[in-house]
Amino acid sequence: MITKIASGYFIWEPIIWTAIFCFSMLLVSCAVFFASRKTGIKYVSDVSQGDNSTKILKAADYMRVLREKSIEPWLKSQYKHLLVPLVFFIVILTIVFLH
Amino acid sequence: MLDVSFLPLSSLAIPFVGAFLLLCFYAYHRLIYKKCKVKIDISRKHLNALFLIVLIVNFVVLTFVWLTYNSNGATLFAINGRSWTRALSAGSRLDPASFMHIDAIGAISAFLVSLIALVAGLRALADHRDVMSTLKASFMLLTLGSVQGVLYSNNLFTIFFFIAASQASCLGLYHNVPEHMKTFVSAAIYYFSRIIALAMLAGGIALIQHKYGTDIITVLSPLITPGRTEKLVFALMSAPLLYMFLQPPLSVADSACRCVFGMRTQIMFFAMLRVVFSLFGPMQGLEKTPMFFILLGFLSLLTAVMFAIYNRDPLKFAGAMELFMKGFILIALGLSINGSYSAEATALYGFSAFEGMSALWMIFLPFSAALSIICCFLKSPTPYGELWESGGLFRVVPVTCAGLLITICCITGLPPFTGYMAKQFIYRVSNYVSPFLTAGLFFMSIVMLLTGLKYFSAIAFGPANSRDETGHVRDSMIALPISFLTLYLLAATFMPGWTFEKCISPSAEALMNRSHSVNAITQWGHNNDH
Repeated sequence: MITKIASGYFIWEPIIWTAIFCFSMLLVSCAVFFASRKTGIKYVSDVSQGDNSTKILKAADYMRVLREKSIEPWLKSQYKHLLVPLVFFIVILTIVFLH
Repeated sequence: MLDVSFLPLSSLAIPFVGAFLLLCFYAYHRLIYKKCKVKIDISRKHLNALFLIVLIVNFVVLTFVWLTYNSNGATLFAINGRSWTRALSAGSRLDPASFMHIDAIGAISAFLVSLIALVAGLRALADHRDVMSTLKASFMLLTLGSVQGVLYSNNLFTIFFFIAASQASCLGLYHNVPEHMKTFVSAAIYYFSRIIALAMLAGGIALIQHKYGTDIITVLSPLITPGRTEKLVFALMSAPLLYMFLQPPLSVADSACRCVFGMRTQIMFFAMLRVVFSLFGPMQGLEKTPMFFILLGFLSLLTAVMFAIYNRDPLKFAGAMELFMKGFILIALGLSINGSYSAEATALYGFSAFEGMSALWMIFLPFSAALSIICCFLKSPTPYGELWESGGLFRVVPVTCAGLLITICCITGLPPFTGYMAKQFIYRVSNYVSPFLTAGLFFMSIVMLLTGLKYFSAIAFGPANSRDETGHVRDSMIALPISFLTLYLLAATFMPGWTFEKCISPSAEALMNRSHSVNAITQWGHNNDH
């Protein structure tokens, strides 16, 4: 890295990528800020307590339902330890043999 | 010049000897003491002192190994059945048939693992909730020895043996002993799944041993040719390692145990690197596997973001953050393999991908340990629930909160923290594969950063309850290990050039430089002929 920086051709790239990252961060932050002002992001526990009048960002609600109803029960199950390696095996086998 | 070739063997022997002594002591108390009634007592103070001495000596020895033998990409030591030999010293010759060796990535990784083991040990000794016991100390040392064994292995069976040992010792720490029928079934499935995973690994090794008559990686790598058996072996070996790397951390709130589980996760990826790069390399017929790794990594990022959003439990948050790191590492792995298939790709982005992957992999363990210690500490019971529920923690535990903030910034890659140093390589490289991938990675990083900062502000600056509600919980309980880790992270942040020169570049070269092994084998063959 030091050698590359010393030779001079490399130093601009990290700076440009940092600038792109910061700019993207600014854009996403602004988008989230305005979306939250417009739709009113609230903690989803408001809904579970029956407060349906609260406006919620729909995507977050779907994400919570998906996580709590589908993924978390699966993650608590011990069958994942058995099935997931087998699924990986079958997928990798399919990829390398179908190629 | 002082002959220090005994150092690597010592570093491997120290934790095993310590674990063996403690296990013997435990077995004596459980099996023999009841019959002969001759009491050999070891006080807690002595146990703690012995445990700490083993960890410190191991750390010092591995620091010497790393500082003395950090040579770019080359094999540093080899053991060939008689003794360790310093492979690069004048007059010595690299023996490719050695079943264990240390190269740059092995030496650096072993040093990192010993540092994290020391940090985990310090935390375990200061933990009043999960008090250190003989069995816990012996299993921690056994895992440490097994992890170092994998890092030194040049032989597939040795890798399998040490992985099996690390699985057994982690199961001992997890202590998943069934008490009811329902828990018995679930524990039985868990144990069975481990056996199946290890059996898949052993099956792959047996197949390759049967076909080529050896399982030494440096001997095998130039011999392997594309074929049905090789593809089957690739699937048999990479699937269990991939899962054992990706699996969510076990649901224990003991930070020392979680650090040890993190070490095990780290070596699973190391074993994958040995299989994917050192053994198979860019083999014909495996061209589509990089896309699978990238897709799996992206799915991991999505899942991590999904779990981090609106999840305020510290352990689940730590799990999501770890999964986020693993996702990035998998994507880096896919990009690295993709970049090694042609000379043009290697020149354009292959080497940067290797450096990015090495950098991400090097920082995974310190981040994982820091998160484990902080998040387990946040689960400490207080008179009114757990610590994280109290709110306004920055006034009560400022060091912990500062550590959490630095860790979140590093993991999500906020410039100029050290995590970004690794990620900017991945952003650049992903742009060569697809701009959409770069955009997706940017988006995921930023969402995770915002989620992490929101989580941090919720527990650190939320509505503060009274100071008395936190009970006896204070920063001093984790100050020492967190200070170590924070210093490491800040040092890597403020000295990126030094970190790359001393750690990342040698590791990347050690992974890429397969020709070194091939040349050594050719030279060895010529010498034998003469």
